[in-house]
Amino acid sequence: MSDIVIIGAGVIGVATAHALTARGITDITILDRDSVGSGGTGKSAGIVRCHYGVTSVAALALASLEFFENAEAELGQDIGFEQVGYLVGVGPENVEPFRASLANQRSLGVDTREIGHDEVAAMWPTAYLDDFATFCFEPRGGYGDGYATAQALATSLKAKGVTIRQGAKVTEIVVDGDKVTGVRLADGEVVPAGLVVVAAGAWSVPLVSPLGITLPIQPIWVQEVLIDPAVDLGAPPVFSDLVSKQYVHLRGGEMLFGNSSGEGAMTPIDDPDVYPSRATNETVELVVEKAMHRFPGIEDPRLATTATGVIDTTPDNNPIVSATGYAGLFIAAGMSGHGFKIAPALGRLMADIMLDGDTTLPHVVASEFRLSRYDDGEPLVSPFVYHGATGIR
Amino acid sequence: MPVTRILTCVKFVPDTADEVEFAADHTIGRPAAGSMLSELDEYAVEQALQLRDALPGSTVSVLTVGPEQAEGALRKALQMGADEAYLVTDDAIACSDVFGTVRVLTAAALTVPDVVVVLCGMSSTDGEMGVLPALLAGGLGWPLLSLAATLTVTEAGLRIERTDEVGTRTVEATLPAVVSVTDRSGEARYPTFKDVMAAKKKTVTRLDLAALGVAPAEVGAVAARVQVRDITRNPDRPPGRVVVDHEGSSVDELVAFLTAR
Ligand SMILES: Cc1cc2nc3c(=O)[nH]c(=O)nc-3n(C[C@H](O)[C@H](O)[C@H](O)COP(=O)(O)OP(=O)(O)OC[C@H]3O[C@@H](n4cnc5c(N)ncnc54)[C@H](O)[C@@H]3O)c2cc1C
Repeated sequence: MSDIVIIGAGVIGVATAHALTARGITDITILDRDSVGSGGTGKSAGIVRCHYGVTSVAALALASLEFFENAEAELGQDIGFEQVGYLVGVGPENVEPFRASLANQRSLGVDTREIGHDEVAAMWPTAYLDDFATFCFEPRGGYGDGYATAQALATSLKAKGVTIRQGAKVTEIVVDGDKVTGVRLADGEVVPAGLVVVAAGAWSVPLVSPLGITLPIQPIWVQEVLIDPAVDLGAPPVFSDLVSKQYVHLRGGEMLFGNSSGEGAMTPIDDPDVYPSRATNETVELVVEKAMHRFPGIEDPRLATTATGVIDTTPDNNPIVSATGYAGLFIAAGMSGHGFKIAPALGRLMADIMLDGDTTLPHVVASEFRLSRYDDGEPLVSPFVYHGATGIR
Repeated sequence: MPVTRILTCVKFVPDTADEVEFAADHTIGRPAAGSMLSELDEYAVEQALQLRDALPGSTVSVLTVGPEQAEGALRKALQMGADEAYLVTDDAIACSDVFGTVRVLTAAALTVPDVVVVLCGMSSTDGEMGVLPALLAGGLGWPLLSLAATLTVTEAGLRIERTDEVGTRTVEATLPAVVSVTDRSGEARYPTFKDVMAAKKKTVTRLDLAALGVAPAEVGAVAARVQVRDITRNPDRPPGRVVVDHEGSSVDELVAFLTAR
């Protein structure tokens, strides 16, 4: 029997196992109903940044950066991290919270600075910038590849003796009184375990509900539009545009546009497995309008294709990393669309909570991620509120 | 130069990337949000746009028969660059077999003025019968150039090349004609931003059976001569077998597995 079972081989499940092995524990089995990285991880835009108003989350992102920067050397595999930098532009209405957030980020050690229109124009010469009030630039940001990262971690875990079982769907978490004893698979097999981590994204909800645990996680369908600029734009930084409320980055020569506001492009759905795989016409038209406004310097851009995915959103747009009322049962879910960039440190946070009940990660307050925070009326929200943007900043 | 119309028949189909759902009456569920312009029809739209360049004075119209949401397929074709669109929608058409659909398309091709070429994809991605272009040519009494891999304009009409296991045939017909194109005819273009924005202003003309002079009794479930009796889903593929190696022990197992195939 394994001491520890982790349900879900997304980036969060494998990062948790990675952190456990760093503490000398290898008696771990990861179970995935499908395959490594087959969930949200494989669809992620993979943007990496530390621009967060919530101190604990910014600190997780910062600690994760070190992993992304060193992963190739540590794991001996390319994880697809492209450190092109991360740029944020805000309108006049957001200058005040923006500067306050930047000051807070710098106090944590984030390398970020306010920059002017000239500098941005040099990075994105095709962009129209007049409706921004100011910008900041994080040179250590960029984008990664969720699938490659999860695969590289999985390969390294196997080499350390961790078992990864794909095509192993958990149908039940088995408890004895108020203590977890293992999990049951679809074919009836019981995998015994002293500790169980539920890291199954939105699919975590039905796994724990029979135990009387309610996870406030809503699956949300998100849409992305890929644009062929038909010219070489080089390797500019990821651009988070808080005026048009979109993020843009270049991937294999194509520009990936995602919506960073609720407008149309974020639709709550009932079943995280049932959603259209392409964006709607309305979303395409909206993105094209925004892109034409923002990038007038790109002469003849074309609509290449669209992609969609599901994010597992909590009421405060922040993850649940928590013990439960059952001894040995833990939750690492509800990443709310930004789980990739914080995954390495979040795995460490989960491992620390499992083994010590607390974490030694700098500036990270473990209890802020507890499941009961919603009932306690203590949601994890940024003190630096941006007007018209979702709470994931 | 007189106006001539290239009419492209397109279908609004469930997204091939999504899980297919069958309704109790054996029709394929068509979730509005998860449906799209059939990928095989994108080739027909592409060829229509190229043909427009080769036939001075011509315009490209797209036509579909379907529910109100089928406008989504037409919008995509308009984004690619088609000039205008027709949506034939009528409650009586629901559950038509291919003969019913062809009855409607034939009437529409004769109602829309100045049509000289009707273009179709090689098959739909949902029904996958591939007979519609031939039936449509029959209905119109026009020659059929089927399964074209290339399409060129000649003095007398059109010439296509059809490539199959045997070889390549060159076939010609006079206009008006019906042409079906394969997925080898050339990748469909990406819509430019200008076309995407222009498409918002293009018109989609709605037609019903009365406008086409088709009696409700000629189409729909009442007229269907083909009925789907049953649908059985393929069983899930069994998971792959994992061969665990202990210092070369897997070799025999692998060889046995491969020779058994
Ligand atoms: C389109 C899109 C863009 C994104 N962009 C960004 C971004 O730019 N930056 C960023 O930081 N984050 C981004 N995210 C979010 C990020 O990708 C996710 O938060 C992260 O990948 C979640 O990882 P996870 O391991 O929690 O979940 P998942 O990757 O979904 O993994 C859950 C796993 O659990 C398995 N599972 C489910 N049920 C069971 C069961 N019963 N038994 C066994 N296994 C089961 C699934 O098969 C799956 O592999 C984006 C997400 C999407 C969808």
